[in-house]
Amino acid sequence: MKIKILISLLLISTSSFSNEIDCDQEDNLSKLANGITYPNCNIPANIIDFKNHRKNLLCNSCKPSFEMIHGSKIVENKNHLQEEFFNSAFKEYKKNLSNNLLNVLKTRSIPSTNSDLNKSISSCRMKTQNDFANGCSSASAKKLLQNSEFFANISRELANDAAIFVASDANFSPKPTILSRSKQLCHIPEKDVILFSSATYEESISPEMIEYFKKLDPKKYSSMFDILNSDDFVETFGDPSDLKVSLGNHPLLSPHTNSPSDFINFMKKVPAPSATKDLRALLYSKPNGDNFDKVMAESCDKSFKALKESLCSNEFENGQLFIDPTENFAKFEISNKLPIEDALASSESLIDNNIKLLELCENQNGNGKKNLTEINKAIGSSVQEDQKKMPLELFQTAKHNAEIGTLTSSLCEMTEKNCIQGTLTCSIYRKYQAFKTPGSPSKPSEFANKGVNELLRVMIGDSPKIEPDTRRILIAEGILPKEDGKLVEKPQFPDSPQEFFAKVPAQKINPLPGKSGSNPASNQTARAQSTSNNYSNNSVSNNSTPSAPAGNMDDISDLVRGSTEDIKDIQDEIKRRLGNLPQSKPATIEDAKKIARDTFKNKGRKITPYQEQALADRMLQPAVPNSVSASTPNTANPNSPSVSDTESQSEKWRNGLKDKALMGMQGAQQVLANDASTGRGPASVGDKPKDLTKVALNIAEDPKVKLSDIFANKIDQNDPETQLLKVLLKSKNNFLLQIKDMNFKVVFDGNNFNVLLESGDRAEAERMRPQLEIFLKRLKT
Amino acid sequence: MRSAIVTFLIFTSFAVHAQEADCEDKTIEEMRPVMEVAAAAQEETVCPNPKKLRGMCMLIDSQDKDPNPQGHFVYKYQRKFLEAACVDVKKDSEEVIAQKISKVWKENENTLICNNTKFDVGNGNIIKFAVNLKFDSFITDMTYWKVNLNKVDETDGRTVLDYVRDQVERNKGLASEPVLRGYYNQLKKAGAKHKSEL
Repeated sequence: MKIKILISLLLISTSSFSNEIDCDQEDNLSKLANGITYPNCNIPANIIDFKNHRKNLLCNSCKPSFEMIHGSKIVENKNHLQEEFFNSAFKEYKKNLSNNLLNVLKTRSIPSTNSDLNKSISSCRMKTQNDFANGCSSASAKKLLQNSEFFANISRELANDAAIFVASDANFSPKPTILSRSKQLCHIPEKDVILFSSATYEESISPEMIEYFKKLDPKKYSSMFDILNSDDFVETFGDPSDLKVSLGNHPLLSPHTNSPSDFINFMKKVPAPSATKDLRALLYSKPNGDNFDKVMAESCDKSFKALKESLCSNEFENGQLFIDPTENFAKFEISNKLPIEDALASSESLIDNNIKLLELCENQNGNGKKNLTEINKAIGSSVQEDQKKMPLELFQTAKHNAEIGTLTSSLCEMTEKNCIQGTLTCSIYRKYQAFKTPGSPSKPSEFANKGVNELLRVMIGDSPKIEPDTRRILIAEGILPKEDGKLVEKPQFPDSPQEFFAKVPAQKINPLPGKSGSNPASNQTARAQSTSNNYSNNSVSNNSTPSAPAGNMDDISDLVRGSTEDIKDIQDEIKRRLGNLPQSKPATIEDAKKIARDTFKNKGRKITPYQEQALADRMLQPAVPNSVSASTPNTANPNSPSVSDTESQSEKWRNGLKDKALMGMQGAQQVLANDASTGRGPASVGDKPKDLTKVALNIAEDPKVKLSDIFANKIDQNDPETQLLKVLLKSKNNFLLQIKDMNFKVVFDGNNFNVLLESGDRAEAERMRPQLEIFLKRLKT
Repeated sequence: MRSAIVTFLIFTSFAVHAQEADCEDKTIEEMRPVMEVAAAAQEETVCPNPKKLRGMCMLIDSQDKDPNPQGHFVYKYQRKFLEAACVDVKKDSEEVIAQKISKVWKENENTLICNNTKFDVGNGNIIKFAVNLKFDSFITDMTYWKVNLNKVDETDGRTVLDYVRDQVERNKGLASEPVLRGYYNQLKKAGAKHKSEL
């Protein structure tokens, strides 16, 4: 046998080289693009249209090699087919269970919606062997179930997972669990990671973003991806990766992200959003809790129904099963026993496994058969798309890492120094730090949530195999009953979600001294503002000496596509039109937009709203940089860090903007364009109009109080400066506004106004601008 | 035994030739409509067009498939790279495609970074992000296209290979360990180095 194997290996190697030469590849890979490793067939990964050639590659190329080794023909084996099908389907069911469990555990870590979760409690209870066997007409399936330990173990695994999640003890790590946890550098309770991240995810959806979503037509988008990856969205709010995570990982948000219409309709329910609390009011409402309940119940029902119907079917009993070996290979039992790389036929047991796989080559016609791929999709309906293709074992690690583990690692390793402002991770880190300070509010996860506890209890079941420590923790948390059958009563969460989160610093929790960088928690808001108000730093003025804008139209090639001649033509035309504007009346943004529109129309070209906006902004920029104050903003603040520190931070932020601008993000382009026009200083002090009313707004920032609340208090207090602001805003008079050492100019354009930074720290102004504008808008109305 | 060997060789030869024919016919046929669309779109494309690389992190995170795949390029991120590098899948050889993409990569390397709560490196190389998400196809493509694998991220001071080594360590005994080891070998074979080797 050994000699036979060696000769075969030699031959297979020859076969591989033939492949290599034929396909003109210098480097063969045994691992294919979809992660599947094939038995001893070094297949060039990137040049083969694998899906269409899999039968050639796997069955026609590899099978004869193994038939040689095997000494006889490899034919389909019904029992083996049933066994693989059965195990794969049950593993997919387990994935769905762990997915649901994690979602419920997450809801236990955040404020309650007060939903009674009745539907889930009846649909998601732990299933038993009898639930499966009752009414099941397939004797083969029942026999396979009897021989497996599936239901016997799963209750124990789920209980262990739940106990680790709710426990605060770093040393508690029972086995087995469904979710696999990688080594952590420090211990942060999982429930806390979920609390901090959920709160931050909520904050990442700014009121401006909600307004944006509300205006979308769902018919124009086929998926959530289409919305988030649209040019329009990316140009307005930046890279959507973080936001996508926010939507997908938040237990009360994710049920609304199944389709664009679901999502847009949900966002429409947030009435006139002005702050995160408006979204929270909806998220933590009972109807939304009831929706979570409905979605969870459907997932549980659908998953078990799909599992039972497929395995108890006549097709299963008769072996009429379609397993695509190339799509499902990684999920097979035998795949665990195959080595990852070379030497795939180096032992008899490996050859045996390969032969089992190759038996499936006969199973290439799915007509009238139960299709494993389709059935797995139905069983794992709630599993994320990218995790559906993973084998259970990899899913267990990937799921935990994606939603808890990696973030925990980041929080363990993060310091203020490497906290990248504007990222969700940095915001979560600061929130986590804030909770560690004395006097911070108690976490929701420290209180009971009766409905969620009851749901967890039925999901886990009550296996006698549950470890004593696990049982002890679950009893103490009010999830499992004590020996006397009674539940431990824990205090109910005292606050409403809004009240609770109002105590949690949402922005700049532990700010760097000074004013460098962007606002950590509302970076996307800032980005939105930088676009929606991206003409706010230009020189539009109703008060300075009237003149037609000089414009900054010497190079618009970054905004307009076409040949150099075409672009120059458009530039000249715009300049000509600008020159024709009346000298007595200052140009408005609408004038500039009209010029852009008309110019393009005249040239027989179309212009997008964003091009229109960007060109208008450019027109209204000063042609020659203003006189620039060279002083750094930090010199005025004795508490600022050293200038070099601040410059370094500021430089990093600006470099990031350059990158974003290169990627076509207009907000970033605008900031940089403004920098260019102002000599790259934090803010220019141009010719200050002397006849404007100046209001100094006194606000004392407290790191523990949100900026929005500080402004809200100003409105409530209605002090003289606030009253004066109201008068100015209602009379639509331009005025100057001083906040700390920043000077803003509020300039009216019809009914709307723009808040322009006249002088002071740009980064600080950007941080403050969203809330300041909301504040002023509220005063105006 | 000899006859068995001869039979096997003949069989293998047939299989390989059949495969070759299949490769050409099917690929061209399948790619034709997509290539027409791509060719039309290219007329309006700035070249190379870094704007096309925008949103790449989300595409890696979602691992979304392209509804109109171009031959064996089935993922949306592949389409983005092809478009950014102005690749003509109909005309360009695999080698030219790799050259064009590695050039675009080099020019835009600083923008191909991700920040994500699923990723433990701030402003981290997108390849590290793909490793973290176990996105095999992306890693295979990057090695095949011979993009620069040896960038040291400012934030963590590590190359991709350093990162994978640390991930292997962190995931010892878990199902992801062999997968990560596979990435390590694959990247090393493609020329990836540790920072200490640069």
